[in-house]
Amino acid sequence: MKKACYINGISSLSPQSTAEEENFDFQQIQTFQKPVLQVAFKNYKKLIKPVAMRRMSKSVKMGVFTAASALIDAEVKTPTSILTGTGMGCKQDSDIFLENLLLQNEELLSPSKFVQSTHNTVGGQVALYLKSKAYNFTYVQGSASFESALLDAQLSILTEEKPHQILVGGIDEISENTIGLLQLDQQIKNEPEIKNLQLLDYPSKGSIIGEGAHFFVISEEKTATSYAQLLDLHLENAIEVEEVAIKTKQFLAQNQLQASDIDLIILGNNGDKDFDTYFQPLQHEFKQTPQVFYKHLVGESYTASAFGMQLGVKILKAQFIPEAYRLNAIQPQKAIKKVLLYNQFRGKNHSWMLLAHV
Amino acid sequence: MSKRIAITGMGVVSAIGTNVQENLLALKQQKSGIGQLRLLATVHQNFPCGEIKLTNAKLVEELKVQQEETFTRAALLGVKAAEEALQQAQISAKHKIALVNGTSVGGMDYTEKLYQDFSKNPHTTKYIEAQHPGFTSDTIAHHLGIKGLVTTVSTACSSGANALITGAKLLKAGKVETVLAGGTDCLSKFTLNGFNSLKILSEQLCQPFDQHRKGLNLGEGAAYLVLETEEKANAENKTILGYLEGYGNANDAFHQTASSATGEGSFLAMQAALNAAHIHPEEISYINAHGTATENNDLSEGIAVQRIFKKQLPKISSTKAFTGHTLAAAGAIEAVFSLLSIQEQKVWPNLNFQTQMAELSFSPETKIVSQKIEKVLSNSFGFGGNCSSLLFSAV
Repeated sequence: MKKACYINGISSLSPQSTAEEENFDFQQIQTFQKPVLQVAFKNYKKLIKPVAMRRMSKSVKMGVFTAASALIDAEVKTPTSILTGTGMGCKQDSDIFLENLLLQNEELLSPSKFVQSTHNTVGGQVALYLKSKAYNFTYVQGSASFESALLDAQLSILTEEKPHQILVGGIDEISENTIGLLQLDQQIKNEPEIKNLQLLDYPSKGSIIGEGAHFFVISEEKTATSYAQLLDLHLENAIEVEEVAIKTKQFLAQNQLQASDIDLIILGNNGDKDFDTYFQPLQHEFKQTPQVFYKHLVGESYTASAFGMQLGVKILKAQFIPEAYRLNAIQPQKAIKKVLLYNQFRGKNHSWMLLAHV
Repeated sequence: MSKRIAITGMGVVSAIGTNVQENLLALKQQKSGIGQLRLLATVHQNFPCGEIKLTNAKLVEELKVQQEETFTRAALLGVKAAEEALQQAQISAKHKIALVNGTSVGGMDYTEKLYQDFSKNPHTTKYIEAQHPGFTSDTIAHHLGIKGLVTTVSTACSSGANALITGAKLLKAGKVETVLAGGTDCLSKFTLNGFNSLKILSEQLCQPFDQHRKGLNLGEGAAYLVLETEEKANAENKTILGYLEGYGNANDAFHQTASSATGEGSFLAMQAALNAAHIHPEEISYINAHGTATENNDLSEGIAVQRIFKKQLPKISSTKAFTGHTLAAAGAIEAVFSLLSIQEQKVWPNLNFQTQMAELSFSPETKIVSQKIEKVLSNSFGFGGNCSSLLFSAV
């Protein structure tokens, strides 16, 4: 018998968080005029002691905070594993160590930035915070980093005969030092002013960038307060635009579903004129289905799709599609039972996730 | 449910050789690959390293890399080892396999070379994305023709071992039929200076498990295994090199970079690997230790080994004095050495050892020991308290 994965706890920090409140609100929308969307949240002391916080980089603070609050949300004390995905890891500390190394010609370097620079720093710090000796993995695979961690969660539940309470999250931070490099690489749009709510109206290369941390607690055990079920997920490293619709149908067929079974589709459009073409086949294929997107509200990052999943989970629970997230005008005709997510970045690391109402 | 994971191919490149045969020969001749740096441009020439004396240009030529491909050194080393593994396992339909790669710094070699000049040289901007480790895996996958599931584990120095664990889980869950898993890391100023800032690099040849050990020597390399279910390997009449019988990962939850005095993380990882394989400690013939030769690691690991095996200790050695500490590649390279140990029925020696540690009741093997070897435990530990243990068994 195939075992199920239930999502029993969530927590999210994103550019949609306020200084006081971490989780995003469907109605209260934060807007931005610049292409760099930062997390404005300040209230970490709700869960982290100031003395511990002093040494924490932004990634670590965001990661530890959302990991801890997802566990509280799920009413779970000890996770059976800690899985993180991050595209760039603790970018700011890595950049500082590298710059000092280059400026000081490899002399007199302090180790503090180096020890925080490994990609599994957040995973390790969450373990330290929780005093958890559990299985602890970190995945770093471009825009499939969070999905890789989520895949490990699914594999653990499928292959291990024991109860699971898996903490799985995606974390990425903006490093001030490399914003310039991302502009040079045309990952960030060049327009002097960008209204984020109109992101798809700028027909240029690149996107707006963001940061955040999004954690989930996943178990084979359904609870009275479960948010949703993760039915399945699928990754493909490199495909052509023409293959998107076929791969999507194959993935649905593997789960005994067809396109008409999908009540909502969540897409990763980021306004990059060169790569949003990857989303068009599904915008067309599912034109009678309600469609939402989210990168105009949280910016692009390698783990932005973890926000997409939080959004899907919250919509399933609330049975309501927030206006600011709509990609088309189609209203749901019936209860939202099945949600499909598709994402990619620059034509690579494609991911599909399938969520179901519980 | 419980499928057995067979290894049907392996490939390796390290300071002691550019393929499995060369590595085996150096192990048999007890010949270390650690010495003076020749390729890495650093001011710290005083630290001996396990450097592979093949330039990037030579590797590009040998691997027939196209001009437009963006190759970091870790990707070049990775392709070299991966091609050997795929060839041995006779994998032709590459679109059907998954790549699980382990790497710590990925394309850092290019980042540190170009960081200050990206804006001046437009042709280098394609390396900006190379900063993230997934980019190196993408490059390897693209060159090999792997288009489906590609992922990267980055848990510092246990990445390679952990990639093998994820690979095994993918097969057990029936997600894919064949997995290419392992790790790659190249020497970089970033890691050399990082470890130097922690004052854990030795200016002499490293001495794992020695009372007077002075720190580690860095190395570089790559290794991959082809993993398939036993059922599939048998159905296709493939030669099985050994089994990945069990694995365990645990967190020390003690300190970001240091290991606990009781070796709790390593103890739990070894115990989990033994439990997963349903094997008693006394059935283990040989432990290929993490044994980096730092003050902290060898003590912590040694205590953990004593806690697991009590008075019946199997033969133990660290092969880091051959290759240097190859970071994310270490777990994969040592997986190959563990399988070679089973193949040759030999325990590999722990070079440069002289004096037993006062805190431990055992010494590592200093010479090649020929004996019956059926089950080998291979340890890999990393920053962030990450501890992994893999259990390999003979056919």
